[in-house]
Amino acid sequence: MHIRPQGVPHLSDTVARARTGSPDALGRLFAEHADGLLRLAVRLTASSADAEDIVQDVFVGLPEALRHYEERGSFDAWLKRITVRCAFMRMRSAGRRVHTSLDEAPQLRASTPDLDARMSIDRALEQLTPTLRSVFVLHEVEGYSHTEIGSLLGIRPGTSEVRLFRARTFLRALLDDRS
Amino acid sequence: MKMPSLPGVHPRNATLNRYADRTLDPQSTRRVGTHLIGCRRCREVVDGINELGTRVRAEGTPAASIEMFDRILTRRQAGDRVILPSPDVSPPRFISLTRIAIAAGVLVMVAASALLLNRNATAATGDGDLSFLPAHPRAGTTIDATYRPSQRFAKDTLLMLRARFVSTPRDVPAGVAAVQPMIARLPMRRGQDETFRLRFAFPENAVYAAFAIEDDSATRIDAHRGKRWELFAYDASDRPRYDALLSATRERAGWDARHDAARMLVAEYPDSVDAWGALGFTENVVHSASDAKAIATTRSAFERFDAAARGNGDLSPAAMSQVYALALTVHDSTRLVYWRDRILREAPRTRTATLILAVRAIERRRPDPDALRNALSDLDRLWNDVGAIDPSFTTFGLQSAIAAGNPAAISRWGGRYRRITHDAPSSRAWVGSELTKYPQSRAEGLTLLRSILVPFDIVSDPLRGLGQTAPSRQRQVDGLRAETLQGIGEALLADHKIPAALDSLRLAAGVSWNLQRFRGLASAALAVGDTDEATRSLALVAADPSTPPAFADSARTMLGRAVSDAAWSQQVAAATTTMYARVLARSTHRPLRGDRVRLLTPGGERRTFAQLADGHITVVAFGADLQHNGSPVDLHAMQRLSSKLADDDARLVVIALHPRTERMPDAIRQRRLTFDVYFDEYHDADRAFDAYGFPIYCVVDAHGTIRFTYSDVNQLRTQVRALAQEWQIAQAQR
Repeated sequence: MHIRPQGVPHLSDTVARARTGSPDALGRLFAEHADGLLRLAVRLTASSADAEDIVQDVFVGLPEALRHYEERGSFDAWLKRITVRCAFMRMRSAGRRVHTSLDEAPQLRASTPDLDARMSIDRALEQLTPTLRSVFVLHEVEGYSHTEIGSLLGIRPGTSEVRLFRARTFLRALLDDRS
Repeated sequence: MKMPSLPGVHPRNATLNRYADRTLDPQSTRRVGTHLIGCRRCREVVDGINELGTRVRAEGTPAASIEMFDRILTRRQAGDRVILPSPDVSPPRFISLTRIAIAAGVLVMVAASALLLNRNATAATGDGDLSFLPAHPRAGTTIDATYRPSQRFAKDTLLMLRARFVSTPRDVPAGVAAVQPMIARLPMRRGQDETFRLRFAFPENAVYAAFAIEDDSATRIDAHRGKRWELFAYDASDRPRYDALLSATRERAGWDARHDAARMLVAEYPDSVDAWGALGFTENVVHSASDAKAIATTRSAFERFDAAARGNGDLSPAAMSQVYALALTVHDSTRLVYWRDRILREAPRTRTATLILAVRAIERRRPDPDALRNALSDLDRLWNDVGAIDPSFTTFGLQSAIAAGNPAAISRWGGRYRRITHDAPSSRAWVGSELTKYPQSRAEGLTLLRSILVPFDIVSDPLRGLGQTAPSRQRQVDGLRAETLQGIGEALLADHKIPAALDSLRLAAGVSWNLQRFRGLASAALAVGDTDEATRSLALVAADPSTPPAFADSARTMLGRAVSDAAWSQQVAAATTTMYARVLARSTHRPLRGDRVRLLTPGGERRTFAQLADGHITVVAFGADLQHNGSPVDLHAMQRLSSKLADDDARLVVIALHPRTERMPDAIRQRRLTFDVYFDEYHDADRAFDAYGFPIYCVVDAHGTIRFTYSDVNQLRTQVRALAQEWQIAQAQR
């Protein structure tokens, strides 16, 4: 039996209050989830500024969006899916194409000379196209399956698999060069 | 000691990736594992893959700051709202090919390459699953559809994919379907892996499609639990096309699903005034216009668009119409007047201007003949100016012609109305029945009504809904035919063609359960001295539980001595059996949507619908108003019904159309209601019953299945009695 400590609101209570726009409840959800969402958004967009905007937008729109949340499955996963969708929309509206066809060779962005002897993995991620980076982050960091990624990005699971393979190949090449 | 290198080729890098991801099948995993033991190169590849994952997960990233949260609160307090995209973009799958292709039967190829995997798998139990590849095809792409069948199709080898392709132009106002959707029925055959596969191409001009799976006779259907499967057209930048999302706001089953589509539309196209118009339209239905908080985001978007558009002296007519439509949606009467006047001044020949003028014309319509004539001539003049510009405009014209009692105008506007509604049978029925009321147009009306009675194939009827079985559509068609026969019978009576009239009226009364028709038939039969027919018809009226007991005495008086007491009782008993059969034949079996339906009592306590129904037949009424006089749900009728339902051990759940306030218990006391009114605080009931409107009456059986929707308030008791009878028979058989 799970007994909730007194005074700690249950998630569904918090969600119910956040639906009404309660700042306290929103603050609680922010405290619990914002770090993870920010991390996800930074990795997806490779931009701290964009990521902050995305997470802000998610929380500004959250009370209204919660009216459609049916409390099935993990709340964290629900929130992350919304964040992923927001990130894609932002990347798209910024003119960064997310889509790459199967035949299109993955290309690294023109890399800037790095003064560090060893490139950080985040800097390496920045060099990937958004298309490859999205699949890599969703799979390696968030643990989504290729079917789930296909669902989120609207691509075949096989395409997701190919993109992951290409992302890994280029990341390894990049990191090895800098090592 | 150096490990010996095992013979054999190196696995491909893709295989090593799958090995690292643990997504290889067991046999390949063993083979690669064995290889890795002796191959340092491949081990390094796998280790590198694993290390990459570990490194990226370990890398630190900035944490969300408290300042960020302050900014969020500041934005919210300033009224800023963001429409977030739906998280559940179950692969927006879509289509596109040429209309010619579909007219020619669509390029259909049962995929010859059915996979050999899971050869022995049996059909999946539970829900079936339909998927499409590619998920985001471009125009002209060939699509592979795969259906993993539900248990209901376990033994079928051939199924049909029924598709509804929509190609809606973007300038059609919300709620109007000006372009006829294309319906296709494509065969899918069971492959060796037990799935059903189909390869097809889509019309180039299709932007949205909805699908259901059915057997050949359309008696068993998998419509994805009523949601249907759907595909969106995407553009070159992999974004769902505007028209595709807009179509979804009109085409999806259920207002909640349409509202979700509107949210997606606004999230993808936040700069489109029309997108916000579509959102406002669905918000008004889902949240009701009085829920200012729910529609605050749309209102503030409107204010932004309005401010930007007012300063633009060179605005296109389309843009003006869009802002005007949004003003209508958010109920901003002040700004509405500005945009109305500007449209009439600067864009007088547009659809919006026409509608504004048409509404003005019918607002001037008064019951006096001169006013009606003037309204009609205004509308005719408008028609001569702009033609078939909008279905609503044509409806106004037809209504005005009917109100004016002018058969020539009914014929004229009826023709226009039929053309713009694609000559649907219901349009022909309306126009035809109006025309038969006048001697000079009766022949024209009868021709029109008789055209509805021409038999056609129900399975391939394009008006059969996706997810609607052929028998269900047949019942609808039978209902329309009965109305048509009634109209024909009355027209023939007016022409004194009594035997022919009686034939039509008898046929009309033989379908469904309609007391007015039974009375009409009885009167006609008595007029020609046909006492047997009259007795049978009056017995049908007497059998209905809503008929007062005194009716039997009146009926007996009308029939005179021709019918004995015993014969009368026998006729009423037979009529009661007929009533149960006919009422139940028109019932449906629709489960409640969603896992639970939460409602609030007047005192604010939470109850589920299951608790309130508690395994009893339950009448559900949507739209009680406790705040104003004149509730849409007839509270007096509910009061009467409430006491009578107890006889059948049935329950009554009345749901308010407004939110709960602390004054509700007092309001109920003041109205001396003997039943409780509940509040759909979470919109669960709206969703579960798909009841976005009022008043709506439904009846749920003892198993919690919706059996009657959009019932006539006068038929509720009959429907409850029929369900009670059905329950008793089922219990007796058990």
